[in-house]
Amino acid sequence: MKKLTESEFTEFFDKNIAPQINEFEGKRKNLLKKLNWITGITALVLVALFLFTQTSSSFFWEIGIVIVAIIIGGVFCSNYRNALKTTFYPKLFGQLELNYSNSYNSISHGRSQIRTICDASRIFYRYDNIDVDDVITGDYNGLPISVYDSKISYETGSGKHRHTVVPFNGIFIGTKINKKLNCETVIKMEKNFSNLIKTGTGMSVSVGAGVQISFGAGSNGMEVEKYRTGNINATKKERVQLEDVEFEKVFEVYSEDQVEGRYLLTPSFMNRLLEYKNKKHYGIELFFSNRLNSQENTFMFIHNNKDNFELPIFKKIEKDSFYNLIKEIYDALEIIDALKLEQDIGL
Amino acid sequence: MSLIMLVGIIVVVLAVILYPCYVNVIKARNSLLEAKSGIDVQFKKRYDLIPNILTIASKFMEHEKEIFTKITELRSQAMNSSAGSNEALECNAKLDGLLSQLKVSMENYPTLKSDATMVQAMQTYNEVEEHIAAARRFYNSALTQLNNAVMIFPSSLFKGCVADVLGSKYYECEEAAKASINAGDYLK
Repeated sequence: MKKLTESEFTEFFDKNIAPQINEFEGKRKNLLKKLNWITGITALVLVALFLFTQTSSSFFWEIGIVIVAIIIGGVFCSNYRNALKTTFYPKLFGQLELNYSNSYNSISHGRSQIRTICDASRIFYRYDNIDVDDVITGDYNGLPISVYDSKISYETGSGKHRHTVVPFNGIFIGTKINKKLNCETVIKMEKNFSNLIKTGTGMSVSVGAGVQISFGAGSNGMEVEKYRTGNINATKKERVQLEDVEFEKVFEVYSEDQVEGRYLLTPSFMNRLLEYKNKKHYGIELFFSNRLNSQENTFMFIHNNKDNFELPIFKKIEKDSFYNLIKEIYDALEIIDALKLEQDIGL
Repeated sequence: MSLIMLVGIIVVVLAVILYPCYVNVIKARNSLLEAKSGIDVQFKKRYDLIPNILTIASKFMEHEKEIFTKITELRSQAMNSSAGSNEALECNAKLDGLLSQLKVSMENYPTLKSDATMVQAMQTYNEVEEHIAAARRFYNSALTQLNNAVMIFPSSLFKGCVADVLGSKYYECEEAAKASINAGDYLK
């Protein structure tokens, strides 16, 4: 990957992106008009239903109409976003010598790779739905990289208590560590790990792998689930007790081989991972494996709890919006620098 | 309640409390033995690698015969002593020092440093050294767990069951390695 300075980016932007922005600004305004119409029509229908029907089924009709309106609005937004991404992202990431894709094939491949890693690592308790939005591949510091904006979720509970749990929402990175691996090792967040995420109108706290506390516009109070983690022991991995007390407070390490676990987690590697975690305040979970049919052997789940690599819909697209995308990819790949994965200096 | 029943209850309660402690102590002991054998496995890799390094190095480093002889002697001595014995550990500690010394001497031979087979041999050597360090850390961690188990009541009651490994010592680096480094020596 090539890093661009702000002036290099400005030059590229003026030449390759700016000429097409006006066309998209027109499309964006059309989209906003459509969304306004949908909202207006939905509101009118709801008022009419409320005034002229008194049956018990009218409530369900109202809910149904709102859902249909949301789906139609969502389809319009999604089409606009896809057009935006297809037009600009390959150029933008191409300038960084990376490949961008949101095609069906790349997304399916991304999903299946994440599922394979979830199966092998058991970092997450359940991972029924795996969504992948953007796929960025290429080289970084001589290492192969695959970056996916992804979200893992599953449905739980029944009846009124049915809700979605999001054990992971952030960036998944597949890359390579310059060390020979003979088995599999997992580094996961300690069970009390928690970080705040915003979901829709409400707020929820995603607690480690599989717990969610939600409180928001629609909920009456809090809903707390019992802490759940994947059954790592089922994959023949054993807990590796490390000597760094601070590290042990934040992470749990499991490996098939106690020596290899420590070969990967040298004191300085632990220090670097901890420093990165403290600097970014993101949860990070890592999986090392030599068994997957891939040129990558290191896989990272970075819980930054946001929809990454997106341009705004409700405000005008400007140069800064594109520069933010570049900053997002730099930010995501900073972990490779922080952990010095490309170096094999024995530390 | 009859006396027999009371004694029975006490025995069951004690068994319920003490059995997990016993299991814990035995697990700690086995983990220590596993860690010890892990170090031997890594040492074996090192013994296998030393002749290759020496063969390549001897072609270029004619004035370092003395260090080669010492390394070869120590290697044979370490291989002949029983695994995990104090003698083997002592020999390996000395080998650590001599191999580091050899690495530093190699810096004076640019043709040797750039030799492809030597580069590969040194990469493998570095990897083996990293594994040795990891195995030693595992051993120290296992020993801490065992020491905790046999010092804390009630698992300390089973101290006798692990008498064979009691008194094992932690791996510590040699006094020479603790000395501060003079960067000037390396930057001449």
